[in-house]
Amino acid sequence: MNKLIKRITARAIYFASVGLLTIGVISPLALTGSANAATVSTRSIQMSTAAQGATGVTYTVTFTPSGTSVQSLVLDFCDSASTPIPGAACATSAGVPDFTNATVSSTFMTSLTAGTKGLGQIKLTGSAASTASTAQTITLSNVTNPTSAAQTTCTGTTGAGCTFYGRIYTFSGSTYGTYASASSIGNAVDTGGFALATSQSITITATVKESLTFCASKTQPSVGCTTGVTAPNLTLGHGTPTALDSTAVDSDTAYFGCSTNANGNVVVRIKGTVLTSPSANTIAAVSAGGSAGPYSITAGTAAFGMRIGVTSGTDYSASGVTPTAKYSSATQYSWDTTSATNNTNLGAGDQIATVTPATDAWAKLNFAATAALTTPAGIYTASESLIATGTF
Amino acid sequence: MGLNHILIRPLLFILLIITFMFFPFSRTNASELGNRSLEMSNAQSDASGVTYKLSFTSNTAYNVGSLKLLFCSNSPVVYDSCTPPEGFNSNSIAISALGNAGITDFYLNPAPANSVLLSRPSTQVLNPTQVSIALNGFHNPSETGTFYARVYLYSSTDTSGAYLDAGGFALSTTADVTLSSTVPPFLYFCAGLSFNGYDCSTGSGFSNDFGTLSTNKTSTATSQFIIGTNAAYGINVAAEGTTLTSGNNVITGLTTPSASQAGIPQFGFNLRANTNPSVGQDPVGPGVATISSNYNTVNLFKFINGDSIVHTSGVIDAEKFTSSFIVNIGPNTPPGFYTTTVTYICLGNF
Repeated sequence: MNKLIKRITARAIYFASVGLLTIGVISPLALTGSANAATVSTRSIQMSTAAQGATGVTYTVTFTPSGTSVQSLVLDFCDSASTPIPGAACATSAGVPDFTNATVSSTFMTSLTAGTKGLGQIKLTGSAASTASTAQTITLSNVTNPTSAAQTTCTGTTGAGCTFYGRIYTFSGSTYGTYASASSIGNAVDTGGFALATSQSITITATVKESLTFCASKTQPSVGCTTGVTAPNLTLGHGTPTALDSTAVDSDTAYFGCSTNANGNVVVRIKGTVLTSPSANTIAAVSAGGSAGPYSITAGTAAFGMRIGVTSGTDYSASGVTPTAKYSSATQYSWDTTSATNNTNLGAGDQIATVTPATDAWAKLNFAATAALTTPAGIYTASESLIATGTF
Repeated sequence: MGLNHILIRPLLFILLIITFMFFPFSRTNASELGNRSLEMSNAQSDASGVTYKLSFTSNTAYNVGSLKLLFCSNSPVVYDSCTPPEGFNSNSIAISALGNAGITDFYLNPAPANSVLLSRPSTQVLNPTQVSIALNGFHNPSETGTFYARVYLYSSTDTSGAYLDAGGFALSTTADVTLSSTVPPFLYFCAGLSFNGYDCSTGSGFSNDFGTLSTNKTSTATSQFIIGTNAAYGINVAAEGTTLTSGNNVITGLTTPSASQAGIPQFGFNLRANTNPSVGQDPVGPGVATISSNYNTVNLFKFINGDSIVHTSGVIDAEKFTSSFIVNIGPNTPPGFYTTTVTYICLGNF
């Protein structure tokens, strides 16, 4: 029967603890003190962090004294093998906070200052006695939490070793009465015990995948290129049947769409050929493939080029796209075959735009050509690869 | 069971649950390589011979002995499982002689089709720097769309052990933009009395009047024609017609290049700027065609029906020619109204 009662009690406390768990805030324990001492009530010690080995930690000690005149107090801390019971055996060799560098501020007593302080203990003395019987707060700053090395079992299956205990004793005089040690507390006025625990810091990680969706389309693609993507097959020419001649500059358009989270942006390049016939005749790049475009294409002077317009929202998406200068024109074109990373060499092509992280970046690509009087007859074709490279 | 255990165990139990809730994976201490990119030389799906240029910045000084580049269709996350992209392979790759920086002593090791293993002869310190490695000969995934890559650095020379740093990439293949255009065979040709520039639409008139012919003076007239073509094998321009006739009376055409002589019946022309008589002009324009020799000597004229007067061996840009006609009559030339029609025929050889 006793075992059953204990088991029921333990489970009840399990669930109660779930509701009350706040890291570093430990509910006071109803423990007894020395034979003649009263118990400080409503007591707690709140740590600013419960991380093992943390330095610069603030311990906020809150309690309500009995009202008997006191002028000094001792805070002892004992490891997990000990108990919070005042006067009981207290081990401080490991697993207790270090108060060596601690400082104190308080609403309790008058001009409360630290006396002896070290591993597991701090003594405090006021300049005058206090008879307060209302809630008091003592703030101890720059405390070092027990280290994980000292509390080696915090990640174990039982959790033992993460807990340590505090004890508070008040004395009527300024020199701690007859206090001798944590297990020999002498003529304490009030006493109380605390249980505390450190824990491993909770690190929350989340992985956002690198993403790059890119497409080329004859029609403007939807967000993420999910719909509206059609084969980017363009025809340059006019009349019926469609033909390219020296009387006009003919053009046709395609789009690229891009969605990315590349924090270093996406560079969009184009690489391919000029219009070329099966017999290897070509319609040359505008302005001999110069890199300082854009350039004009004049009907009758054989030339091939591409441009992105200059109007945001019409020629390219309202946000996310910055056309490269030599391809940014309302009327002029470029097809750079002279730069190091030009359109036809082994490089990755010529940069036509930059895309910043965006969900719906797009640009309209205007390809144009005209034939000269001397441009040999034939069917001319070109294949242009749009290459998007994200820097993550 | 003591009081301590009753109180402490629930607390520790809860802490353990929280711990495992937030730590589902156990990771190494590796960090993410910064400023990383993987640039393709060709983004077309199923393309062969593609160069991939890997770039990244190492975060700190560490010993680097090898590198692994892994291509996946499912995820760029370095600790995820990897599904090889359909159609992708690195079986024929080689380290490019160009574009490498930061680490230049890598050599290739055999690796699965979706990965690249690069080793150094020995582990060497890599201080924080930008590393670039260009690899030729990849075959792109057969599907159009996004795929992923991951790079891992190792201190070992054979990519064994835990990686030092790593990072992921997202890439995309896409359809090429194809352009097609038909340039039709065309022949730019027109004839008239005169033209502005090389614009056939500005031609004016088709009739010349020599006026009243005289035995003392050579009568002259001019007309012009413009040619241009993209005929790969050139064009040939011929002049067809008769000499000046009036009923049965004829002013003899010059059958050989001859100088103009007043008082002797002659009809002929050439395509030059003449001085005796002063008539005509040399060809003008960006095109360069060849004038047949019989019509290309200043002050010498000829007319034979059907003679070729201009030809080219290939395409020619616009060129304007001026035909300089001369007429002389003799004392016995019967009076009458003499006329002729000369037709220029341009034939393109496409």
